[in-house]
Amino acid sequence: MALVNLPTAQVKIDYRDASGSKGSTILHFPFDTLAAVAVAGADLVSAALNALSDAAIDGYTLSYSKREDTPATPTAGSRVEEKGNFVWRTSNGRSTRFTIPAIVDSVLNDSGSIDKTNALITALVAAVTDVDLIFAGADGSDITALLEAYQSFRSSTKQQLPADR
Amino acid sequence: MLRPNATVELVWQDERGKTAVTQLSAPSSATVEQIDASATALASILLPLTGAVLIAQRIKYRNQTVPRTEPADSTPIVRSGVFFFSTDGDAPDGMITVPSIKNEVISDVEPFAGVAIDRDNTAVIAFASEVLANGATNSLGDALTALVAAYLQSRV
Repeated sequence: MALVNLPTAQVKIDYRDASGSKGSTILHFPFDTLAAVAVAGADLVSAALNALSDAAIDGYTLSYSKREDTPATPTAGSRVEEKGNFVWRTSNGRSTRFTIPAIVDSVLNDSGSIDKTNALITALVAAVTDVDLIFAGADGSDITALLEAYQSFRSSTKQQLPADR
Repeated sequence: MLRPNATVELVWQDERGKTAVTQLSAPSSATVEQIDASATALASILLPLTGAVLIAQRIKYRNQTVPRTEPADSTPIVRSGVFFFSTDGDAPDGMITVPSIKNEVISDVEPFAGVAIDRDNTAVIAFASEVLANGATNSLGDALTALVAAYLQSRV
């Protein structure tokens, strides 16, 4: 059971024509190509594509993907729509968030908030706020503390969220 | 311009086969190796928190054209040029599609006038050179070695 990389990293260059319709060009590079090298290559190929296409190039995405070769068996009754929402404070005073699909019931309070004293949650908080892990807010600001944590579903409204989240 | 953050997507699958993603950000100045190490460490912490199982991981760097440009003319996106590149030995060829291909690069020499792409066109030569010089491969990772064919293709 392991995450196995695809043979290549993929560059998807995005285009937009005069009608607003979108298209793309896909390029591949060996998976072990450094991101900086692949970005430099994609920049040069994009520049050359500008001379071949009448569409506007809006940008590109460089992706490195891995797939599980032997996925484990999900827990009976697990539902990805049942999400644990984790809202974090960042060092510049803003917030960032991520969700954990199919959050387990054992970390939930009766209200639907997440028990921040649960050992699994304290371990998560320690890992995410630890300087050894590289995660940050969307603007690159460090994650410093857990602000809110609660369960929600796709159709949850703000009024339905736990007050003690 | 490269966006300041790269994204990490952890893809989870539940009992019914439905999937959802945990998406996080990391500085785009970080290498794939650095981000991958953090993603692996985090995934091991998330596993006991979910009833779903991890089936994939993606690390994405995004580049955005700044300032935004406008299309050169009304050539539709479905009017595509298809470029075939050879590989060494018996490895499958590689194919690169270019939407809204310019009319100037379409050959006017019979018998393939209006269909073939002129491989002697300077823009085509420059494109092929950049593809080859920067180490592009087919989807299996086999290095592309030469542009061998190119023609007009439309999805409609």
